[in-house]
Amino acid sequence: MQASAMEYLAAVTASSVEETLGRWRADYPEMGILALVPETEKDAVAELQRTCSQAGVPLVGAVFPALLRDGAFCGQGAWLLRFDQMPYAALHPDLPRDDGLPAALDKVVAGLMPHLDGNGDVTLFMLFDAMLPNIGTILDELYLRLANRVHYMGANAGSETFQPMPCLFDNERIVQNGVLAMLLEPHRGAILEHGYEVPEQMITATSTEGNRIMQIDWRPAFEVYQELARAQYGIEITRDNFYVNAVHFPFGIVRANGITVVRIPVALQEDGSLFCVGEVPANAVLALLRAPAVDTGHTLDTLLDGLAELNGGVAGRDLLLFYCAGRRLHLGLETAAAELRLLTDRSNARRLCGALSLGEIGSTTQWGYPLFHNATLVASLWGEPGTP
Amino acid sequence: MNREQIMSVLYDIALVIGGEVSVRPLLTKTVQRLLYHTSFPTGLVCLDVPDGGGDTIETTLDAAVGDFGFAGLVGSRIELPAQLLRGGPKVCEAPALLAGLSAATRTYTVFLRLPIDHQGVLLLLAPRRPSTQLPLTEIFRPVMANLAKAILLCRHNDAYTAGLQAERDEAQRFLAESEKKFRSMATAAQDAIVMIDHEGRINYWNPAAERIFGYRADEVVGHDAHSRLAPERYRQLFHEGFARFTDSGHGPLIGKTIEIEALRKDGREFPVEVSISAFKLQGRWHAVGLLRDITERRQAEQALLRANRTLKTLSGCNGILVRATDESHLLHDICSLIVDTGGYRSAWVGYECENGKRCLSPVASAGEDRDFIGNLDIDLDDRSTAAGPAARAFLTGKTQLVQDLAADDNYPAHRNDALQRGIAAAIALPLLDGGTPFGVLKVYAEAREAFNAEEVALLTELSEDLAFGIVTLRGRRERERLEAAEHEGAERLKRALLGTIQAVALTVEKRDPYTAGHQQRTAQLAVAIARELGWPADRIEGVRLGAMIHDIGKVYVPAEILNRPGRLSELEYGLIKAHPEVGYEILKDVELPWPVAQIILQHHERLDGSGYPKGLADGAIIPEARLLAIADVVEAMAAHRPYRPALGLEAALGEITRQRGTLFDPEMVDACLKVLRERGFSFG
Repeated sequence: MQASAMEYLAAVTASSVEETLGRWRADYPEMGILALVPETEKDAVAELQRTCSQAGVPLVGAVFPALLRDGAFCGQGAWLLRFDQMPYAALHPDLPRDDGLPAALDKVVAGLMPHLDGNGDVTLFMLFDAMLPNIGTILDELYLRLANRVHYMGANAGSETFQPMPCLFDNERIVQNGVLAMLLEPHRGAILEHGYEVPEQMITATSTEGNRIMQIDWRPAFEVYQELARAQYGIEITRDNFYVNAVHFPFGIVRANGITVVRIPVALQEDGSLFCVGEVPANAVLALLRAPAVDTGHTLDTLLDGLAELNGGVAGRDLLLFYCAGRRLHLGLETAAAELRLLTDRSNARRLCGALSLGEIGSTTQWGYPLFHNATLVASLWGEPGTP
Repeated sequence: MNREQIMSVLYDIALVIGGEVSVRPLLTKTVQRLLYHTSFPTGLVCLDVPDGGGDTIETTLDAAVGDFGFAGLVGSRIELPAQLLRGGPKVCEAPALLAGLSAATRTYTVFLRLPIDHQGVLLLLAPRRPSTQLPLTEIFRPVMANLAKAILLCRHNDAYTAGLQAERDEAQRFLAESEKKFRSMATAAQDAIVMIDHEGRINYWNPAAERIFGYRADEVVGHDAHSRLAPERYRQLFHEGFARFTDSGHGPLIGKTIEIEALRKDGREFPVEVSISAFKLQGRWHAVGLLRDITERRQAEQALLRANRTLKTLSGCNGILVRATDESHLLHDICSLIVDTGGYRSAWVGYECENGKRCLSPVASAGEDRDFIGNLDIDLDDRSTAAGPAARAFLTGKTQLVQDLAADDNYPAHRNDALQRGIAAAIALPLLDGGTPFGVLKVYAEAREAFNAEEVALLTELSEDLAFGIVTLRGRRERERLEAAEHEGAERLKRALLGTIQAVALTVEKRDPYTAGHQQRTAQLAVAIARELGWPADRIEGVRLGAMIHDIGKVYVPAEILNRPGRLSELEYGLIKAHPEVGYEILKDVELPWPVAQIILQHHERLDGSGYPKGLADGAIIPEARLLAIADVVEAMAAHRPYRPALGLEAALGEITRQRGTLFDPEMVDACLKVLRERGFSFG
């Protein structure tokens, strides 16, 4: 059995990085590194870049609010994930938010296409800056261009304060407002699930723009939100406590298959509009998930069943997981950590590595339409050549 | 899902359908939304599915999302199972049927068929049935109805847009072609084409403009046109005119073709013909100018003008020469002609001095510089003045040309005076008589290089004509003087001769007292008859002279025979009858302008040949002799004779009347009768 392709560094130092690289390079001379760095350790990116560059090891990575390490949330250190052979990986900073987007995506796709022959399982693994307001549109456009040439999976990086921050990097650069696109091959994609119960009450986002909701039911969105918080918890919602309260009142975009796509409003804008991670369709009819109950059991079952179906079981294998920051806040740290531990236990994975994410990309079924979600867990096997 | 939630899904899809205006994105986005909501990964749309039987149907694939095999065939004809395309809304697991989809890049087992009313069919495909509690075949019916209408509208809009696009393409093609033609024309044009924007800046500059003005396009485009192209003296005027132009599109030069001076890159001015037009671009007035370098044309015109002037001068010179009667007037007239018609500043003619000094002295002049010319003192022995063109022309006999006075260091001392007066060029032409100079014609001009080769040739011809005219005039004067003297001598001789003849005639009459006064009286009557006949005065003079001495031959008849009364013997009569021939012999060698000798010889001849001495008849007798014969007979019969008494005038007239037409000329007889009977003639 191969050694794990995941290495957690408690301290990101030149020596710790060099030690890991040295160990791995002996067996994988054409290796590359995907680094997951918690926001508190973002300054360590420079050390990673320097050390990897000196070692001649290709590096890509992202900064997340926190890491997941063996069934717990973790704010220190860094995960190094090994590509046995560095795949195609491209950093595209500053993607347009206007009519220039299709041309920019043409360029993204042009970089990918030479590596796609239409045979075998390939996953397009994307790490976005969470501050991009048009990730849903980007996914739609990519699906039109690439269709089923790839499986789609990904997560959003950045700060949980939702302040703009360079969060995507390679050997030389650390950028923002972009995407890090990687092709994992062979790879059969990821499984995504949130387990939020389907709501009853529907509202209408009567005025939206990208990832901002200006009005709900033709009233200022914030006003509606204040009433909800007051009624549900008897608390007064303010700009400062908005995020911690709003996670309990996420929006849901109802789909015909009964699965809701969650949108967590994460910040209150100066003009009173609500800022979500992920697009909200213009004039969308949304479900308001009022303090939604979360079926952890169902969530984990779905994930593990899906992974098993894709990969023939995860026991003893390395599992990559992105866990939504908003979900953790909604459930509370303790419940979220318990959920994480439960997943670790039930998966029987050799190692569970990942990050707290600000949005997730995937499908609920194999070959499903790629969707951008909040409040989900996205799970995928990592680094096993010949994975079925 | 409750009704509210279903409605939200339908609302979402309806919004997408309603938001599109073109068929292709309408279908694509609708399929995307359906995939989003249903978890089917792949969607196809075929519009206008043809009727017909068979297991498969060939139709056009109008949209495909989620399967790159189908996506690559959008717009193409593909064959699909009829079972898939025909029928109402249906969700069906049909792995065998779907295994036949040759374009598919994955294995499908389930399809959801959603007919789009009469427009076509939308198919969703999945490897396995996506989980849903909803009756998908039912909830999307209204959406599909909407989609059908939207397709119809989008097709209309696409057709309309395509029409507009075709028109726009055509307009753009036309525009591009026009642009290309314009560029080609402008590039190939020989004239400069310059466009100026509303701020007076050059925004187009063709290759000809580069050639003509010397500026490359990048040196002038964006710069103020007037500052670059117009001489300083015009700029203020141009700027004022341009300010008016930018307001109204009108200006003093717009729509006109004018000739003006322009400025080259090297600072030299040159003449251009400019045509300026106005046009509006984005609501602002612009101007386009066509500029033609007319330097050569202007030079040719100037040359032609000068040649014409010179020719007119030459022609006028010939007229003056033909009419000339006085040398002084001739010289003055020629100088005036050179200035007035030739357009030169001034001209003068100088002759060698007559005071014994070797010098040239102006004798005639015209133009602005008369005082200057009047003070010229060209001493041919003084090196400082002898080096000037006039002196050189006189001394060498050859034309001397000074095209730039300021640059001619050989010019004599008065050069500075000439320059200050504005004289810039001069030509001096010798006046020759048989190759020897006797004077000089000098012409001044205000412009440098004023005398081109043609003008020099013509002025040379003029000077030669002038010299010939002067020489001819001088020769004519000498001839006239000689002729007058000769005429005076001849007159004197003639008068002496006539005096002699008359003296001889008087001598004859003195020897014959009975006929004394006969010749004078006969002459009176003959002259009167000749006048009656309308003869010219000169001829009458001949008649008069002949009559005066017609009996001069009687000088050889002895006086006793002449004076003896009674009849003469035959011999004596014979002597008298010889007097015409004797008279002829006396006068035949005297050079007179009239046939006096013949008159005398024939005055006794008669028309019928009965006269003497020759017995001439009719036309052989000269008219003067025929006339004299009548006057002689009438006077003789009317007067007393030694050998008989006077017969009287009536008898005489009776005699000639009787002999009218036989002896005497009838017309002359009639004239004689008229003179004597009607005109009151009487012998003095």
